[in-house]
Amino acid sequence: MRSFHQIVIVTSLNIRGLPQRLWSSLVIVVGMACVVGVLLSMLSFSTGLSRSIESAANPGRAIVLQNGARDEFGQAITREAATAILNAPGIQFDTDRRPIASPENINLVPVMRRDRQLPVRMILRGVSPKAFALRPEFRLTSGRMFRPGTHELIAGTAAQAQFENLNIGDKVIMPDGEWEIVGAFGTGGDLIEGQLLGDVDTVMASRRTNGYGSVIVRLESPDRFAVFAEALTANPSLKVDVQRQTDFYKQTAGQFTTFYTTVAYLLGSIIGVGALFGTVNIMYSAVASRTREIATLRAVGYGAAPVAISVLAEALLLGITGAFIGAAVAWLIFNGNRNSFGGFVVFDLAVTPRLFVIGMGWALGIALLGGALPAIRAARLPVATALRAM
Amino acid sequence: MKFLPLLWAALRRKPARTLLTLLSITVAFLLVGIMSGLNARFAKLVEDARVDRIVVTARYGVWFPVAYVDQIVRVGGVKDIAHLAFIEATYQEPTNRLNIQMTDTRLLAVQPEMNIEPRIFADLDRVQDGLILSQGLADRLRITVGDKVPFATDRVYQDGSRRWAFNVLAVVPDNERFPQGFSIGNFKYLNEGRKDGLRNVVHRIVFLIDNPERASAIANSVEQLFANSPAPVIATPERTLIENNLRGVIDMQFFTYAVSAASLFMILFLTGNVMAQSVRERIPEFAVMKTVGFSDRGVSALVLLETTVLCLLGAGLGLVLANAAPTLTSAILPGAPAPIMTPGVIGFAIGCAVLVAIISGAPAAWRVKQLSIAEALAGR
Repeated sequence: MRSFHQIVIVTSLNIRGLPQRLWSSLVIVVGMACVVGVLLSMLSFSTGLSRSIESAANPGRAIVLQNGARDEFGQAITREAATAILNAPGIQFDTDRRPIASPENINLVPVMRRDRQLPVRMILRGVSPKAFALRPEFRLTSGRMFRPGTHELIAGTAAQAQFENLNIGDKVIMPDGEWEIVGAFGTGGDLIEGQLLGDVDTVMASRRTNGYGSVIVRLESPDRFAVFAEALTANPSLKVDVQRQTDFYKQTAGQFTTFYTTVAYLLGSIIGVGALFGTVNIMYSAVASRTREIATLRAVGYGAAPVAISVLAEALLLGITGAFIGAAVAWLIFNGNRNSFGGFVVFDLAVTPRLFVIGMGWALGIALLGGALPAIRAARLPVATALRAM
Repeated sequence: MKFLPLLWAALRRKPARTLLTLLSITVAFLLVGIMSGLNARFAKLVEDARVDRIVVTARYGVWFPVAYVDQIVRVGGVKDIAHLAFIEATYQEPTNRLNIQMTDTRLLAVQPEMNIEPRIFADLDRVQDGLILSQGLADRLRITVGDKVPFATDRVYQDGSRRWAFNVLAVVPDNERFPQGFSIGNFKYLNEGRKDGLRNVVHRIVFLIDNPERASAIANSVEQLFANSPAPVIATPERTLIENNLRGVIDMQFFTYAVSAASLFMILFLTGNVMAQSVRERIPEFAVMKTVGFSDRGVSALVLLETTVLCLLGAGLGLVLANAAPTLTSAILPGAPAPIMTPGVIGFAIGCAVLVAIISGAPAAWRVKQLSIAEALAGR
């Protein structure tokens, strides 16, 4: 208890002296702000990207892909196979006694990215009538729904914001002529909102293909997955893989983001090492400038540990302050900025609470590491010599 | 010259502090080096890309008929042409990645910069599961000529698995145009061995034209040729394609400058502070120097020289590390573009170093310039 009391006193004494060392203290604050700012800005890219992808998942849904496929781009699930999949047990039925399931087909369509005037290709998803019962998060925000069998599309609001000429009334050129956009929709910010939707049969006719890329189903309940999956694997005529949608999108997000996350941590570590050397440097001179104060404290009976802890506390306080500033700057500049991975995934950069915690963790680590050696020096300061030097 | 011993003495005055400051500067310039080295790499990619080479890809979907080759050759101005399909593969470890270009002998004429002996391509034509690897890639994967290597891939083979076995026919010299290395296989192997319902389709057709000025005109007529077919295409000059790719995901230019700026800003504060403190401790020394005849300008020049030497030294060390960085990071970031240290990059780093030195040294230099001898010597 007494040593705790000492820590409080020595630390507060220390911190009250900070204004005298304002400029050198600022070095640690600025350094940590740079580290955390750079790290979080870079991480906001992969965080936003995987948030957009993973939020499209629902544990109550399963996705069926052709055997060996990692994405929905294939066209190898035949109509017969799709019928067999829809008849499997475990799928939830709608009020009309039909399974809530949607065989879908993915197509890529050239569009112009608004902000950079860049030609990219975005996703046009052909969906079946039950696609909307399947995705209760779907909301038509303006215009009307496409009519099956016609050359009509609806555009996600994120897609409309990111790419040119996707407003209601605009025409999208497809292999078989012009398709009109008749409505706009939202899905709560997930990746579907960055896509175009149309009637799957008409889309497939336009591509002259007879194969679906995926079949997405709503399960009666998440724990019916095994029943559904086993029925499909047991059927010798089906060559398909079944995954929970959560697993599928987690894996997809990983494919997109692993590289960028690694780059962020790698560059963050480099600049972090720079800040670490800076912290050691500044804390050493802080201890040097407090020699008299520390020696006096030790002479009147304060222990070595409270002195050392007060040095660490100073480094921590400055580091955390810098981290706050860095995180705030990253948040102000980047959070919510719309971006897209080529034309594939439209997403908002995201500086999330989780990233904030990571930033604080880094600041904590760098400050403790950087403060350790100076703290030891402060604790070992030979009292007699230090006092005589006065 | 009389400054040199003084400079040396100043830097050695507090060796730990000098060393720590130098390390921070080095780290900052490691980042500046990597970032501007990456920019130089991207600029080189664009510069090396040919304007007389047109890349054809599917307008919708991914695959399109290989038969388009025969129609494109008949377009006026088209010289050599080749088709490519890619197999993304990993060998043993998920990080041992390679992107195999499945093609045939015609690639040689379209990409002469690959610099491969025609004899080797002729061998590939005979051996369906043959594979040509560049030296660096072969070393990285620990594969040698004659090996029979199974790859895990993104394509389904006829046995239902995604394993494709290749027979390594040749290992060819590295080529700086392909810093990540390259691997080439036989298109027929993919076309006949695949079991995903697709046949006679490719990812790309690439062709050279006889007149670079007609690039967009020819690209347009190729697009027109297939505009009303079930599988229309996009034809883009190679250079445009690469420029677009560099902006497709992250705006590389903004990214590299932003990271450099952040790290320079960090050491600006640090160096300025260290210099201010070092000068504060040496006030009596400076007073003595002024007394024995050093001019105001002379002492402040000494301070600026001290910062400049420190920054330049750090910049030099940082660039050396940046140059070594690709070898260190290739294990965790396979296939990442490697920074290059061009004269432009070195010049930029030196410029930044001098700028940081002047800005961060200025307050300290100003202080010693204004120093009053009498007050300083009196210890006030």
